[in-house]
Amino acid sequence: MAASGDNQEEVRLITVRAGSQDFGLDMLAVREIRGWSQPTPLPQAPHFVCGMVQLRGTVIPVIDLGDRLGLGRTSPSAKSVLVMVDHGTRLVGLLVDSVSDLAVLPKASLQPAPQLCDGAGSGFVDATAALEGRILSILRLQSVIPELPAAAA
Amino acid sequence: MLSLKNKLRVTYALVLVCFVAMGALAIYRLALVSDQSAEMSRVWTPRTRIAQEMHSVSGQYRISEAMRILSASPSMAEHASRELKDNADAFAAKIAAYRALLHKGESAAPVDEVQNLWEQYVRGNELMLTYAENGQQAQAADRFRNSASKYYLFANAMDDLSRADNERNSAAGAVASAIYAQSKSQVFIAVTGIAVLLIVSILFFEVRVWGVLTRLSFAMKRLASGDLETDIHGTSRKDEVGEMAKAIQVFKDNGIEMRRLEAEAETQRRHIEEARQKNSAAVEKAANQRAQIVASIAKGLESLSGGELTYRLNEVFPPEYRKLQDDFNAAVEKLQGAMRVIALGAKEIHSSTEEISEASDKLAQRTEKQAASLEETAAALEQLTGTVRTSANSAKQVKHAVAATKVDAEESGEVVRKAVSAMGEIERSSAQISEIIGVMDEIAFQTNLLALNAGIEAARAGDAGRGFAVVAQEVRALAQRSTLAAKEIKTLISSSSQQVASGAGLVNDTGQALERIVAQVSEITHATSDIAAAAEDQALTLTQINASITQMDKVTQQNAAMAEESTAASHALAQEANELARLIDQFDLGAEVQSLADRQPAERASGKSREDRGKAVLRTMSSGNAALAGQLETVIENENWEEF
Repeated sequence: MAASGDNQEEVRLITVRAGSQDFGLDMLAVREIRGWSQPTPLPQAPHFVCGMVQLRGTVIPVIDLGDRLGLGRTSPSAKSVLVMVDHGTRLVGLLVDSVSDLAVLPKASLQPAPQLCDGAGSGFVDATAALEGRILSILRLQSVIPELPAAAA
Repeated sequence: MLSLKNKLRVTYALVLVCFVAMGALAIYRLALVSDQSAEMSRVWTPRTRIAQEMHSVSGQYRISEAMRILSASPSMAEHASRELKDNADAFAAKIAAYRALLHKGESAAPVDEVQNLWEQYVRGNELMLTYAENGQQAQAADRFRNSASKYYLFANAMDDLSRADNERNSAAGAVASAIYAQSKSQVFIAVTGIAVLLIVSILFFEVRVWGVLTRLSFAMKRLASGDLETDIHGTSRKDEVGEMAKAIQVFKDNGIEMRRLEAEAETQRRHIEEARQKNSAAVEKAANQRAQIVASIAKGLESLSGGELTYRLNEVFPPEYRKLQDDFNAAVEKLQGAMRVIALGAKEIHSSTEEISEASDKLAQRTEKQAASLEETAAALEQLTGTVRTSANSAKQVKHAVAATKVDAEESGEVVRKAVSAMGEIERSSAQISEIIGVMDEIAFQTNLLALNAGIEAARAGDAGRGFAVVAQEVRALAQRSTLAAKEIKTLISSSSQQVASGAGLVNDTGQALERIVAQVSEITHATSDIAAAAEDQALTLTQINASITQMDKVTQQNAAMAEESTAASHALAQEANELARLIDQFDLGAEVQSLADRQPAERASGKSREDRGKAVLRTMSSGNAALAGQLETVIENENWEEF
């Protein structure tokens, strides 16, 4: 829920790379950034779920962000990074290629995601921002992380 | 009769025996006297002295007793008592000394008696001394007076002892005097005897020997001055003087015989002189005739010596010298014939030797040329040998150099292998560095993540975390720089690894090339060894050839020397032939021979080639007498050359 930073003049973002694309994540939703560790596979999980890892005693599911966004499966390496995000009461790990930067952008510079048609694509992106000549898509976490019943299934 | 020498010996022996006997007697007698005097001085005199001393000591004792009795004061009494004791001790010592001088076996009875009497006397006075001690002087004096008889007994015995000793002392002195007197007379007799013996012997020699010797020396002087009538005395004697006299008699007899022989020789000489004077007249006549013959023969011999062999003795000789004339003429005839033949032979020899010397001159020249050529050949061969030897040495040096090269190349191969392994090491080190860089990269990555987390936390903290956010940003920048640096290093390391790999490949190639070089160098070594061996063989062969050439040279030199010697010899021969011809020309041999001698050189020069002439000479020399005869036939028909 990006609403937490809405009443401020600027937004704080973490820019990550997944599937050769730059994405922004709300910094306040991010609990921790960790290096790659091989997750334990989760039986009968959706294809974008890599498995589960432990974070200080808590078992956390890991989602391949690239795969989730339909940009192709990420081949994990030592440089791959797990971004732990708070989603309501749950902690979910997102597998990205790398974390690029911490960015503080004026709220005014954000543009809404282009509306091509109803449905799919636009549901995942809240807004876009131009950053050093590239387009940064700010992700909508509630879209990225499946609803609880699906995850529980 | 004894000879003079033995007489002298006997006399000397007699004198010697007398002297020895006299000396022995004198020594014996002196020993006796010495014994007696020793007895006197050692025994009798001391005994007499001791006896007298004993007497005087006993007197002193008695005086001391009187002093003791009469002593008025205790000090005097004590003095007298001391005197008494001293005298008693002195007597005891004296009598002991006397006993020590007693002869062995001599009776000690007189001494014992003296001692007994003395002891009786001393014991008898003991009571008196007791009285004196107790101060009873009257009783003591009474006892003293009574003891006088005892003392006189002792004194008498003492006197007897002294007298006996004195008597025996005198007796010993008398014995010594008697021995001296006896010895004196005996020695006197001996000296007188020896003197008489010496005088007798001197007189004997004076009369019997020196007188005769003086007469003989006088006779010898007379004989030496030529007086042969002198009488010789003493020839009948049988000692040395007699022999001398006999020898002088022989001298005298020889002198008389010599005078007789001289007279006989004089007579014979006179006879010979007379016979010689008778012969001289007949001899004079024969000598005249002989002088004539000798003169004519001398004339003939003179013309002969002048070389005129045509001279003959034509005078009429007396019949006894006719044989001499015929013989002379026949001899000259024979000599003339022989000289003719010799003259012809000399001419022939002369011409032959000229040819021989010419030929041997040529031979010598050619031999010299040959020797020179051989020397040049030898020198050239020497040079060639030197060159070959040098090339053999060079080949050896090349061989050594190549061997060294081979060793170097092998060592280089080793170096290359080491280089390859070093490259491997470098590769391994690079890999390790890469690993470390990986670790660093990882650390940088983790740092970056931590910085991100810190940044997130700072952002959550809002304005309070702003400073911390800046720090986190700086840490991130550092981590990123580390990452970049690690990447760069990785790139560099990988490129270096590539270069090392290519270097290792190149070094391997070098190693292979070096191995090929080593193989080729081995081949070169074999080749150079072969070359060196071949060159050595060549040098050896050339040395042998050289030795042969040197041998040939030596032989040729010897030949040349021999040719020269033979040339010199033939020249000398030609000279000798000339000299012979000249000598023979001095003789007058008649006209025919001269014409022959002139004709022969002309015939030689008439166009025969040299070889023919040489052959002719050889023929002449080999066929000997026959050929010579053929040449001489036309000239001297009458002579028989075969016989010659």
